[in-house]
Amino acid sequence: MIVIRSLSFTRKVIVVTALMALGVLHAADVPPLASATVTRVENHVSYGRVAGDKSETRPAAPNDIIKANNFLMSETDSRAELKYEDGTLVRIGQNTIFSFDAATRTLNLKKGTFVFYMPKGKGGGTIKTPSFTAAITGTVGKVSNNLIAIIEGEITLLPSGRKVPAGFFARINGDGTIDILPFDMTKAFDGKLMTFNGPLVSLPETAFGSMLNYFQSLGRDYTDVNNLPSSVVHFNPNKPTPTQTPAVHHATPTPAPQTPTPPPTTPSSSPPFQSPPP
Amino acid sequence: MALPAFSMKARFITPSLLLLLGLCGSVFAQDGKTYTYHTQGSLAQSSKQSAQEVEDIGQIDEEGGSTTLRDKLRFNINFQTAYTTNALLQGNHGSGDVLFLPSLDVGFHTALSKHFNFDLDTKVDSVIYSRFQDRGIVGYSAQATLDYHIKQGLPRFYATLEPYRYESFDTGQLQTEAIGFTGGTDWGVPFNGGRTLGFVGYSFTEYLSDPDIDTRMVHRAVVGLAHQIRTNLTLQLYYVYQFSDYTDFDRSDSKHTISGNLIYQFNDHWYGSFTTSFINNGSTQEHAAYQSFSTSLGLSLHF
Repeated sequence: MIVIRSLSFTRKVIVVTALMALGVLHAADVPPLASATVTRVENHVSYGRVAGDKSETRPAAPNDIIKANNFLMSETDSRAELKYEDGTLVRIGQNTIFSFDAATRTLNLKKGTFVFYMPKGKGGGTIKTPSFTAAITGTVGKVSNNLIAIIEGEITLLPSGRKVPAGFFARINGDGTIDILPFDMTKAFDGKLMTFNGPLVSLPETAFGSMLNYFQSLGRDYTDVNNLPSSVVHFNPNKPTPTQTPAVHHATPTPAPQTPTPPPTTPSSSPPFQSPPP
Repeated sequence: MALPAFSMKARFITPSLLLLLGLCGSVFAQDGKTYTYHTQGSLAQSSKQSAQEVEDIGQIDEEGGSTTLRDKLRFNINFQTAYTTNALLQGNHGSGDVLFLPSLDVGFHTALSKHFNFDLDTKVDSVIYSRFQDRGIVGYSAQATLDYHIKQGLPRFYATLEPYRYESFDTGQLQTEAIGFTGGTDWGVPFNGGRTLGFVGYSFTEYLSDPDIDTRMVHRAVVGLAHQIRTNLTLQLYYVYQFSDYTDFDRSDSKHTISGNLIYQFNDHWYGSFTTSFINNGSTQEHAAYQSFSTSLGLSLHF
């Protein structure tokens, strides 16, 4: 069991500077996250605008256009969904402050939670919280202040460069150490944000609530049970003797007549439908 | 709010990190592993998610680590009222009846590794007929399933062990009991922006039964579609083909089922459903062939 320690400050600076330089050089190829449309609002979510040192807010509403100098702020039991022009989807949770930077394609979480879907081949981006920074490409994941869980794709923590693949989460501890651990993917779709306004784009089948298990369970129902050969024997109204003969449990398929009479009345191809003599 | 520019594609990140790794020499040597694993002790020291975080993004914890038993357990109580045109399951639609189908199941699910999951489901269910009361049954069953999922988006493979026992509801007399061994695969493909799921599956089950005449081999294939109409309303349509070959008895059945469901989620615990289905069961035994049409309303409590 190994604990990964943070890099020294000097090394961090070297890594960050180099990555920034490469990022800036590459930025020209990548379309910015210019604006996003609010596609759903639940309860009390504010749309904020920063002007100099001041910020002003008003209630957010569907179809609001959020730009890079804007932010969204949700209250308790309140959520919102944002959709970017490149198909990126962000859902913010309760008591969250979220903004983004257009040119650097950075999703900023000041506090709270969000889940995101960023389509592949659209230029990727960066997630920044008060605790960590991560480079993302085509990915589905969940984010809180000190935690990021990856459901699809892969992210790279900055500046360490450590990868967090699908099925793993990174947690930044209070002492600065980082845990990268596997989590139970069967619970990947837990949480209101995962189904708020429908399943996230490209989510696999489990988003439908164990649909596979549901279909698996279609196998046997009462029509199967009450139509088994033993049941047909038990329930068949064409039985030659209308007595309440119990079902032929443990009977062999072709019971030998115990008495010479009555003779069999059904074809030999279907003896089990014939009740045994009383 | 934003940090300086970090925007880049992964193909730039990877070479740049490799370059930096080379430049920095042994910087990463001491902790070159991508993943770290902690002891229970160190996990205990780490910060926990708040209740609001759990509500919004679910509990995220080390697999098999501090996940509680309660997280792995599930309970379902289901009440269903159905009308069928053929309660006797003979001929075509000549014996209409109203049925009550209560069931209770308790399940346990755990991930064994990144690719393997284990699920155990125990169930008590009953069918109570209004008109043909002697047909009422009560069943006790369990399903232990080990499944293997290579990765999300690819088919899943599973093996199931399934004992069951059905008794007459009135007399308590054994009607049938068996143990089933199943191997199967299924595959779901989401499309339409993730709102629709196409589904195909196949399974083979061998049931060793008491009485012996119920012993059979069953091939089952399913094609289905699930569509999320609204956040809390899902439509399911599916077709199931089932071929049963009775090994100790001269009988084989071909059963076709077409069904449609509407499932409405009232809240985290309560679900309502409306179901219709048509069954055409062909059999080499005259008395076992039938057609039926059923419709039902159901209410489920899940926690």
